[in-house]
Amino acid sequence: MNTLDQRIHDFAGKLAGAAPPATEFERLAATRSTMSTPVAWRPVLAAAAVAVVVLGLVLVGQVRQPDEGSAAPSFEVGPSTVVGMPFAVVPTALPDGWRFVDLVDSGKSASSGPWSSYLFRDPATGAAIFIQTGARFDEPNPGPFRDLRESLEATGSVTYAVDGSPVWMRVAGIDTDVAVSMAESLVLEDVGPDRVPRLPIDSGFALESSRSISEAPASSGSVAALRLRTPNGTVDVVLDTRDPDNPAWNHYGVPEVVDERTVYVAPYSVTGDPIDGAVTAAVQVSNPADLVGAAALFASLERAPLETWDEIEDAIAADVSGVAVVDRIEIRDLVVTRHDDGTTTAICATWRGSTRCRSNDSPLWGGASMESANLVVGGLWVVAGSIDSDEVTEFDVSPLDGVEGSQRARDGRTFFAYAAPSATEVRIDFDSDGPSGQFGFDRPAR
Amino acid sequence: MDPSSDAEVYRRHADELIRFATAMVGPASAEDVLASAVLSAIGSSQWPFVQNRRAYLFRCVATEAMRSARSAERRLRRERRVTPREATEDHVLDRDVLEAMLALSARQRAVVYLTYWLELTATEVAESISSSERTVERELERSRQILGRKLA
Repeated sequence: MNTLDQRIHDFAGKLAGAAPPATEFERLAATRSTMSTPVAWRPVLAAAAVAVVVLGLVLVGQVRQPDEGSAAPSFEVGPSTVVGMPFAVVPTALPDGWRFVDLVDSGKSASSGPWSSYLFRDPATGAAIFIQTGARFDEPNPGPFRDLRESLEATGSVTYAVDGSPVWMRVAGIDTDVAVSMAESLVLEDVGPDRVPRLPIDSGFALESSRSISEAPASSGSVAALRLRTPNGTVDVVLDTRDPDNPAWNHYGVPEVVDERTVYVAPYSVTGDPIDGAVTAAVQVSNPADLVGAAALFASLERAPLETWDEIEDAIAADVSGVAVVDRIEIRDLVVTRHDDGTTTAICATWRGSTRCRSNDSPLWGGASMESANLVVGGLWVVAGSIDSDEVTEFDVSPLDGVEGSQRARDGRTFFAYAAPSATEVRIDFDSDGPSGQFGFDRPAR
Repeated sequence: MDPSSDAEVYRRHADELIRFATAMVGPASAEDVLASAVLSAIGSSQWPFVQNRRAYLFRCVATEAMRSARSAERRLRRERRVTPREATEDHVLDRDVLEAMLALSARQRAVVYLTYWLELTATEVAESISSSERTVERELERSRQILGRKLA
């Protein structure tokens, strides 16, 4: 390191050294409930993993030695205990240049948080204000987190505290000045267990629908997501069975009729009535330039047999598995491959003639230092990943029973793959001369 | 995910995240940026799908810090006016460091911090700030030039 590099290193250290203590999680958690949107979900996370040291400095170990060669008996898989979506939902038309890059049906989830939601609308313009409120803080207010104007301008939403309660406000079709004024003049009233927002009478906005804490249904259901890549970014179709009959959420946005269907367009999302009355859909864009396409996509969403998703997953696998193979692990008759062509990085699992893949286009992927793939192929659950280091000093897989696989180091990376036919969760803690951390996998429904 | 798991993930990474936030927006704004980033992350529909939560949280902090850059910048400039040459209080930067920090953009601070303090590669830095390797390399070169003058 030369003198300048040393000085910059010291400078960076001084910046780090000036850090205040991080806020306690409990203070953040006081507002967390309002951040749980009806389309967000919370999978059940299991108890702490049992750590078992398996490897030494040079990575050659295995959690359980797999039987040698493909002559070993195949895995036996029974029906999945993870309940997924009741049916598939697919768009019947894709805008030009859009293609599927990921699909996951995550299975049963729990917990939605104690929130109440309220939708206000200006009948003259269709503009909407969606507000979620939580109970009063027991602790001192953990805010303000951000400047109201800055937040509303940048994202169309803001989280802040009003009269001792957390408030999450999102706006659609409203000028920032008006939104700031609404946020500043918001009043909360206690009605039973709810903190009900009141907007100024002369604002022109009227309450259109609401869902209070006491009316909220049991917080269980399934969530699935399909990701598409567009020339502008990514678009996610997020599906949720938890609370389909919730107009306060489903109608958040400015109404627009597309192909004879009413959709509600907000700064980063399109929503509408549930599909077949049972599945809530929200199309979320990373770039507002895709909102027009997202509205058309939403309008084309239809119920379909679950097998339709197989075709989408087959198409994704066909796209991805053509990328150059850079590593490979065999576990009995399961083959797990790592692919990398400099642009696309992916992991595919092939079993009994079927292939499923996840790539760096997936929200499940992680980053270059810790890639991971969590997928079900032909009913067999497979977890895999790679670490940006070939000097892994610790690699603990939990549980040991019902999990079979191995790891290998090659060209500066450590690639691992495990089949878990009878498990519903797998945790891997690792340490290396590069990254260290934990992979946590919960079995998806597909 | 249950709240205790969110808490566990947060606690595991809170210290390194607050340091990163401080490097990007200064000690006075770091808590707000971290809180906003974490709330945004765990409230996101993607959160349950995220496997590498550390990397995801770093990205959220970087995004949040860049969004808040303007107001944080104003705060830092106010601090510079009242900061002694050598700060004696905790969580306060001395003026020379502040001067150097203010000479960089928020993105450049992130690149410098992640490269020099966390020793990440250009690829990892690019992922942490949702940018391209080429941009990271360009920003790093510009930052070295600027800091070469400021830290001389």
